[in-house]
Amino acid sequence: MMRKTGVNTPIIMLTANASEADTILGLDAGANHYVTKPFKFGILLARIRAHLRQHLISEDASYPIGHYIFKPGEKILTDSETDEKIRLTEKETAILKFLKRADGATISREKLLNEVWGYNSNVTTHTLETHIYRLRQKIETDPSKAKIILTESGGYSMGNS
Amino acid sequence: MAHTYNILLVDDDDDLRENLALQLSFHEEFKTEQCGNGKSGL
Repeated sequence: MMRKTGVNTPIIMLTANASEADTILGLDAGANHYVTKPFKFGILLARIRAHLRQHLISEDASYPIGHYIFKPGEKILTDSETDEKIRLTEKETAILKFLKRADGATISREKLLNEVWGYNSNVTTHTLETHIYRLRQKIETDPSKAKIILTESGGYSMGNS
Repeated sequence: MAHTYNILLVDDDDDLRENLALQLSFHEEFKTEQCGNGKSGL
């Protein structure tokens, strides 16, 4: 049922039913993995991380950002109210992805610069600021009063979404 | 920097579910929500 409504996040089923038929039923119903009880927590944790890694690089991953749905695999923000699509550059996508993953925490300019452009690049924080400015022009309702990409002391954070 | 992932735990076994949530809470990258059946999970 979750899959039919468009939910594509990883699902791990934990169940007491260990039969082959139950496993097939669970996987056919949309589960990514089927773990029978009892299980070892460490192994479950490793499976959770493995599925999250896989999901993050998949084309299907999508995240709410403000009133948009962000699909990093397609480099697109879709306005959930008007269905209007905003195309993003590779760097803009990387900036949004990194800020989104930080879940509201402040990321320093240096950290963001290194994560998006790489540790060995010669670009300066001015380049980052220019990209942030352009991104705000694209996605903020009022770029002078940004609500999605917030300027913090020494860096940026993503507003509540 | 820790990336945070939201995990929804759905299980009618309260002890198991709460124990799983507790163990996951020791890992900074996870935030958990719990519910006792599939219907409320949806």
